[in-house]
Amino acid sequence: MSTYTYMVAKHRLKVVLPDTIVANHIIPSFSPFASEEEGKLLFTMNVRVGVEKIEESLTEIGQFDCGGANHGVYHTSEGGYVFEIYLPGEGSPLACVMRANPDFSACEAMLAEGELVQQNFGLNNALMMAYAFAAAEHDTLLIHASVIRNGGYGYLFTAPSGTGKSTHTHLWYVNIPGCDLMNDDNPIVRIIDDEAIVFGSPWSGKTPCYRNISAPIGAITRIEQRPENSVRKMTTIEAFAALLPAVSSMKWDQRVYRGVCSSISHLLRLRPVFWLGCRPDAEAAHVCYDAIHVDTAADK
Amino acid sequence: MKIYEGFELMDVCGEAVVVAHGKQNIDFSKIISLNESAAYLWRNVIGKEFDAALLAKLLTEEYEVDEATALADAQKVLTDWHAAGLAG
Repeated sequence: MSTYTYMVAKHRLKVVLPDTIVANHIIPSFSPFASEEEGKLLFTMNVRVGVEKIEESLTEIGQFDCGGANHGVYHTSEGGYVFEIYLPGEGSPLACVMRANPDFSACEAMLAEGELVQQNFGLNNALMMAYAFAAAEHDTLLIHASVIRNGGYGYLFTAPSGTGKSTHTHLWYVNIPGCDLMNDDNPIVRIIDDEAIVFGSPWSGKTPCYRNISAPIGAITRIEQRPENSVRKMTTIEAFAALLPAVSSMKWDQRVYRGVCSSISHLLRLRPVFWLGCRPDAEAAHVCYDAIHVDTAADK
Repeated sequence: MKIYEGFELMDVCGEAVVVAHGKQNIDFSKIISLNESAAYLWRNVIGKEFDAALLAKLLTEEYEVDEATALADAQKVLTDWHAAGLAG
């Protein structure tokens, strides 16, 4: 066994791998987050190859589509969880089974025998869920968003898949001087000492953008496709309703769901949420930037 | 009538918002905001059986409102909560 420790958005996690697997091969997106720092662990993930039948009695909660891959979720008799993570596509084979204790501090991933790319998919997803659900009560949100940095602030864009989050942040990158992409799919938002901060993560969808960086949040913007470019600030209720489905959560788990709702509420007290109706053009980036950016000159 | 299991009134930056959790509410994707008087009624009847008369009584105890108006408002709250799938 080999142990690897990582620091993701200032939460420490430990991955224990069998000696036949090298961390940088199976979870290369975690390499920038490797850390020797000591401290409290958010969770430990023990990994092995080979899926064994789980002997406990399980109660099915449901089958869920997570970005094109099916996840079967089950409750164990001790209040923990079992997740069956399938490869993307209908009727695809199992990639990984994860078992977690009730607060996700102790997790186990059993990887199906197969190619490295499939084991990577299974373990990466297991780690993402373990992270989101272990951190839910620590003012930490794993959010489905693309995030661009400008003037030292992070600007998050959320929308259902296929709306144009990545397209819009790319338009900022090309048209607004001084922009860089922090993460393209699943950044982490934390509230630390009453400041809302966005962190890069080892999960970034199709874009390999795994950066161990952070920035105070400038604003969060919900995108919709529209024939005209326009921006307005959302009301508290609208913002809450827009963010809740964008955050990784489990509705059937009171600890996780309350944690997520209260973190979003906390976030809304600190930073504005905007609605952007936009075309995929340069003007959209300028209209949005003008309306939402933090005036850094005024800070000085 | 009774508020269904799994619905919880939360304070979101000073706004009263009802969210659903629990396995039985997996498909309930609405978020419902309540005004001040509806939130007051919710807090007083959560977990209990209630009818329009009880809601009307609660309203007259808290607000300066005559009984007929209170009863009409209470009836509307019952209808709204039932239609929104919050109580039955």
